[in-house]
Amino acid sequence: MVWMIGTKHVPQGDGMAKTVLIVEDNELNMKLFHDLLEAHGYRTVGTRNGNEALDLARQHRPDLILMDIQLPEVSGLDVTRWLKDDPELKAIPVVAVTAFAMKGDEERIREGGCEAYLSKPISVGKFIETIRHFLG
Amino acid sequence: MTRRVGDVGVLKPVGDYVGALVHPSVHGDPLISARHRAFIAPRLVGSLVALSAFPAYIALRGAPSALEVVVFGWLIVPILIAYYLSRTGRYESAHTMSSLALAGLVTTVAVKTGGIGSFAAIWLVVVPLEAALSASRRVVTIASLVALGAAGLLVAAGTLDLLPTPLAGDQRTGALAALGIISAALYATGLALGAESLTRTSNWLLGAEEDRYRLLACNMTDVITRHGLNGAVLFVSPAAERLFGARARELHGHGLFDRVHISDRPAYLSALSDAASNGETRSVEFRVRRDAETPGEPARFIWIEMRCRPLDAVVTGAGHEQHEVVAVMREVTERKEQERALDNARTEAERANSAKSRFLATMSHELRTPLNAIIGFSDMLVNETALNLTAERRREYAQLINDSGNHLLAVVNDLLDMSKLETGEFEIHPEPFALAPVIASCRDLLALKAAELDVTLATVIDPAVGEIVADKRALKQILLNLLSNAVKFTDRGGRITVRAVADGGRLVLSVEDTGIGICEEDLKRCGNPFFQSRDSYDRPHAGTGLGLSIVKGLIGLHGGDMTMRSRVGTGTTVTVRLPLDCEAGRGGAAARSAQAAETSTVRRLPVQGQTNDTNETNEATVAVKKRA
Repeated sequence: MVWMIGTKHVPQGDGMAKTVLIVEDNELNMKLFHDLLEAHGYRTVGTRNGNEALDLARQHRPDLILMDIQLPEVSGLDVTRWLKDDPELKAIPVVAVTAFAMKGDEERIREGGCEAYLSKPISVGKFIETIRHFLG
Repeated sequence: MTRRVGDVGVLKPVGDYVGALVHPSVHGDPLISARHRAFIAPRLVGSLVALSAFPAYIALRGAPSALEVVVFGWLIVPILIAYYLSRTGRYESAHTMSSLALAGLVTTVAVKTGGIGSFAAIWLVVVPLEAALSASRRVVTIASLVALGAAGLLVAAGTLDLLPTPLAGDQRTGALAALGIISAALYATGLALGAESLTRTSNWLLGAEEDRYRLLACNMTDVITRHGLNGAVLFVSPAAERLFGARARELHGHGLFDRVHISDRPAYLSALSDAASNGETRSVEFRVRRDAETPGEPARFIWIEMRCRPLDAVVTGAGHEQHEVVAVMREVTERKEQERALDNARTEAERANSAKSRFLATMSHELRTPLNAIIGFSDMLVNETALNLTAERRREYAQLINDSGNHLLAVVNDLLDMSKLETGEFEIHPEPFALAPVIASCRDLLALKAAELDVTLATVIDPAVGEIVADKRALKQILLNLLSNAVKFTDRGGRITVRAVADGGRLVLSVEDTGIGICEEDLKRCGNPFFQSRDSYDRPHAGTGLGLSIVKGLIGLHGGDMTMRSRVGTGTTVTVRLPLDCEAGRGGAAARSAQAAETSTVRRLPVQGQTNDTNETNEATVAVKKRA
């Protein structure tokens, strides 16, 4: 399912809010990321399906993508590869947010084309810090 | 010890003396050494005896005639020839010289005493006989030619009337005849002694050789074969009978090759051909059919190690060197079986180890996902003022934290259930209950998720199924696990059907889906703890991989079984058969009376080796139709 959530308010008030595409199949985690980003003034677009992620990225041209790795049907790494193979989309930074946190997982995921890696459970501070690093 | 000529009695000193005369070059070979002695001894003895008789002869007869002097003089020749052999070791030359000397003597005497008709002429026969002792065809040929030549000479001389007039006087002729007979008899005695000694030596040598061979043949379990240039067996040692359960002659030619296991034949042939063509020593292991000792029993294959060694080079017509091959074969079945057992154990250990690693990765993932929500939302609650959270939001977050905590608890409970099932500590509490409402409640629990995925969820319940006796919680767990698996693996627009029918004293419960299916290889391992089909690093489907193995364990506790049928891309059907009354199904009067004494319905049933295929309680039969 796909839904769009508009910004509730824009604290910075500097014109257009940045958009983050969330690809996450767990409902609770989707809500968590959405609420956190919204509270910090970002617009979000979300999907739990990797195939839809590509369409949404083309449609909304987000400024950042949060990518879960374990997804139904296609894995987040596959979606990331498609994004990086697309000349129009490859500039969008992809941050992997995943519960794969065993030895070697980060390296493997970064090699898969993700610009950053955050393991679940996230630290809220580090999460926001990482988002800011890419979106300012 | 080699027996020597005249080892016994008065002849012993003579034997020792003769032994000392044998040329040093032949001391190493008992048979040749015996031939030398047999040559030297009669010549020395015969000549010396004849010479020592000469003075007595003169005393009796007075002054000897010219012929008598020549004859006695000639007796020195054998001594000289024996001396020649003793000094040079040239056996064939010595024999030839001896033949010539004897033929010469006989011819001379015969010429003087009437030619071919003389009493002496018959002794030409001794010439080839003497040569026969040499065991040399060349010597025998020369001696025969010499004897025939001498006879021919006498005949020719008689015909042409060239012979001198025979000596007058019966007395002289009679004396000469006596001398000839005595010396020839002595000479023949010497020859006979030599021949006897030679035979004895060679018999003894043969016997010793045979004993050695028999010792080897009877006690050696290794088989020795000789192979021709094309690999065909030319010789096979008697041990083959024991090793292959076949007569040696059945292995000749291509008999052995025909018994080699068909997939090992290339290795067998290439080892032989390498040894034959390149002259390399090669070693190879292969399987050979061994016929059963008692007829009717099936033959079995044994492992053989064969070492091939090339024999001396044989040049073939093509011009390049080829060799016959000698091979030593030995059974190594036991070692091979040990190696295989070791290999299996290692594979099993590696599989268990990788299952453990996967389990850890999976568990880590399954625990981190709800923990993310718990930690994330609680962090937001902590910073409620900064985030401007309304009271409604706060309540919502608290609820989400609670939900995630419960999910986490469910995961932990699954783990504990699995652990209890594995150790046989799991307890079931059988009670009578109506099945239909339980199935309906499970369906309802998953209806929302199924609807979300556009999957139809249908139930077909045979009205004949009323109450059953089982552990209600366990039955729910079984159904929920099977249903959620079906939902998880069924694509959008698919269909899931739950059926319940009574079949005799059993309840047949099936969950059929139109999902992605399970491949044959994975189907066999479904239900092993932590196993997940299509396992990969980026598992497309969540879950601990414990569900089905818990289901298996619970079914086993009820005395039931589970069957899975699947076709990749078409769907999977899981069929569970449970006794309608698991108490009755458990049978055993002793169990019942023990239970009655306990007054409690709590039972603890052992689950045998979940990880051991042969002991599985649910004997799941797995059938897969392969995709055409």
